Amino acid sequence: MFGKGAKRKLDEEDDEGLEGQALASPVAPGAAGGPGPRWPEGPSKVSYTLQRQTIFNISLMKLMYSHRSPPAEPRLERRVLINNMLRRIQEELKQEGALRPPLLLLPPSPPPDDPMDETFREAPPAAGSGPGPASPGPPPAMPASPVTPASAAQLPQQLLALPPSPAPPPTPPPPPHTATPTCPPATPTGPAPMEACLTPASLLEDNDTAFCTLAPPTLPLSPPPTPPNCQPASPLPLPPRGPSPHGAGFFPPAPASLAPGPPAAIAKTAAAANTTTTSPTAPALPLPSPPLPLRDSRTTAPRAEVAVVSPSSIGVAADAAPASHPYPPAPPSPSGFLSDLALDDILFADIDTSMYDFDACTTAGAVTAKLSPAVTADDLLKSLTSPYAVAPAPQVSANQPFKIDLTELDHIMEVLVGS
Amino acid sequence: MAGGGSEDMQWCFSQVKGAIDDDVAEADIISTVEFNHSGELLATGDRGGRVVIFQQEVENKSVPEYRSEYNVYSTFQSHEPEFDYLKSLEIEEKINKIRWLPQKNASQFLLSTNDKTIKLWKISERDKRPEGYNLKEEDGRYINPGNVTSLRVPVFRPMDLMVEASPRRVFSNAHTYHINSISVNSDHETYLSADDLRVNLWNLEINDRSFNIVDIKPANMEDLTEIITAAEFHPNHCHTLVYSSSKGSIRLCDMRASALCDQHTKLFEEPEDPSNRSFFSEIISSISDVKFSHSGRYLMTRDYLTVKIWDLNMENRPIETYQVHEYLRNKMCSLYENDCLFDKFECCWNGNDSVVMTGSYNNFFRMFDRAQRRDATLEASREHNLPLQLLKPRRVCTGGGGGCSKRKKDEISVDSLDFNKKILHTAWHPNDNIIAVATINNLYIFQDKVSDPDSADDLSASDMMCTI
Repeated sequence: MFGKGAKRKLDEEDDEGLEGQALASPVAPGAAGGPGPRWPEGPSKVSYTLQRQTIFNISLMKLMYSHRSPPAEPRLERRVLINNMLRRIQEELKQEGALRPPLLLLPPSPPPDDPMDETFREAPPAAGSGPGPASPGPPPAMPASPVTPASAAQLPQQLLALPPSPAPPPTPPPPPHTATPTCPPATPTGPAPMEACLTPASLLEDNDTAFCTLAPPTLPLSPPPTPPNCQPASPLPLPPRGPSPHGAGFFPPAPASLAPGPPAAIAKTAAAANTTTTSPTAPALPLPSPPLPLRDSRTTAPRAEVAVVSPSSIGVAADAAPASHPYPPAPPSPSGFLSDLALDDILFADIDTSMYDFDACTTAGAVTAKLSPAVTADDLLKSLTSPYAVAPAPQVSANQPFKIDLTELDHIMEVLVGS
Repeated sequence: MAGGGSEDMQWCFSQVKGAIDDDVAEADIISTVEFNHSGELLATGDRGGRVVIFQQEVENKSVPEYRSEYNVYSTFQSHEPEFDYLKSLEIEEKINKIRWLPQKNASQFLLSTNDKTIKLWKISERDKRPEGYNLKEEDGRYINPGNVTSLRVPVFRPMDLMVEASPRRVFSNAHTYHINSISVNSDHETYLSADDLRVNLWNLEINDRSFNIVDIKPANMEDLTEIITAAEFHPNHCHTLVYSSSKGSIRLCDMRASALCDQHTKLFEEPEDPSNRSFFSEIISSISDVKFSHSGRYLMTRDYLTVKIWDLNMENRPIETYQVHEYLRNKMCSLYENDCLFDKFECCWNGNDSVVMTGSYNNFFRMFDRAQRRDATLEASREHNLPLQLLKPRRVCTGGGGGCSKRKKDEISVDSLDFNKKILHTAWHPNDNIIAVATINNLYIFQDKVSDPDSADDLSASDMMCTI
């Protein structure tokens, strides 16, 4: 090796198949613009999707999980880089998913306020500039971020849970450091902080009211947490993080194990997202399950499932998810997306069968997707009918948890992935 | 003898400092290493907020084989952990950087910094003390004035050398974000400190005021996508500084242009190689260290996989790129997962800018000889600790078992690398071929092999010991 630094040939026979694929597959240009994504054909596309999803989940986990025992300020560079990674993946999904039903994307960014931010103690910014109560108080966790309606439109993945944060539609997801330590970092566990994080009043008053009001139900929309032992085999050696010691469900409000501040908000949406990602194991997926039982399940749901993310299941879920998405097709215009969504629409809209049209959803041709409909459609219908039969809004989600046989699903998953 | 490069440089073990046991206390993890301007002193900082200074043994300086013997000179607690009550967050006492000031008098001065506070320390020697006080006993008690019958003038008598470190200035409350760099200006009056979003200029004499010269904080923090990772003053031009970013760009600023240097004078950025694009392109392009050459003509940057040398007169691409551990390119997903992809490796120049050095994993470190176009991989390990034992070049082979000759001891496969053993901090003596390499909790000192015309080059280590 001399000054020019000759590159080595890519080792395609890498033991970690996904590693090699990462290089083999082109990455769709993100915000920088450029040509659209070139989809590799066949199996490499699947692995590309799998890897992308894996990286997405890893990134979310990184933002949520802090190793520091006495909480120290999270490293800004790390958070910015992870956040950029998440944004890039979101952008890519957005570009890919023009045909896909409007799945709301989880913006991995925390609210604009942040212990690291100098304006931490200042009054909240004007509405529209993002939610972001600077006051350390209740409304924490709603990540200010923004789910760009456009990006929301595509999310194929499991990220069916709406990020509980409103935001002006076109705003890109804010970087983590803008997050507030929404839920007070010191509080270790608990339903109390969780509840406090759930419905930040300031968010509800925000521009995107419709989006904001979705906040509570979004939680229910996440599939019930799968027990950790149900995780399918994961091709990548994911870190066995194990259940959060604090037992927070979807909204781990900055327990000691979490980095205070920014990760908290991210954690919420991340947790929601992650739970949805693990939904593949529970094929029924993100349905408007009852907020109440879900809340309970949240509290009890170990955050382990966040770590339970299985690339294979994710990949399949990615394609299966759209089918199960109960949301009506969003209007194509990004700015109109959020405002058009109303709680009622989401909860009571008739299921548009186009969402079950896996051919449309999986134009990229994920092989496994073709099989998944057969598996999930029935389950989907089962779970879909009940919530929609119930009238009132907040209680909409049926009290029935998914009656999916997880072991059966695991088996199917392994068959799909193994083939 | 400064720098090398005429023949193949060979390196010998000299010393290792630090605990032997594998159970490493977090506080003992070395976080910075820096020679002073003469090379006589070597300072290390650790996560426990302590600074340990080693001094080159004077008696041995003339003996080439032992000129790299360093012994502990001074140890002091520089920073203590603090708690930010406002944000309920701890401020770590870890020493992020140490920079020596050029020596002006008998005392030595250095700047040490943690995430938030910079301190100026004076290290002074005391080897004499006054004795023979007229009014005091030797132990300090005052003599009854009535008993004083003669006049005595105290005289200074030699005593055992005592090295004292005292904080002369504390520069605090100027950084909201984590300080990653400090750099003393060539005017010897000012210095800069850089955090993730800002660069501040200080006067060494004034600790309650600093000037902000670079601020990349966006109006809306949600738009933040790039941060400052390192900054340094030019070694000769007191108006020039550079700072690197997490997106792989380096900006050179001239303070004469304006008070606030948000507009860069030069932007050094290499276009991305599209064939190497991956999810991790941005992360591995983040620059972890930036160092001017001693001449001031070149700039060296370290990102995750490479070391790049830039000519200050050419902004569009580096003049040299060295692959540090290209074999890790296929492992990036795992490295991302276990956070290794965020490791911040430093790099350093030798005295005459002909060789550059940086660290890697498995306690390997790499040297690139720019003139000879050679590179070497060496290991800092306790297995090769015989005095003056030659370090054998190591090699990392890729591809499972293929390509790795199992019988060669100096070859190791990528999958066997220990990613917990990382060498992030290295330093090169400014005037000599002596290097300090920090593993997690040990400091290794190596020197180049002294070629003895009377001895054959293939003497084994034990033979060398016998002849010396």
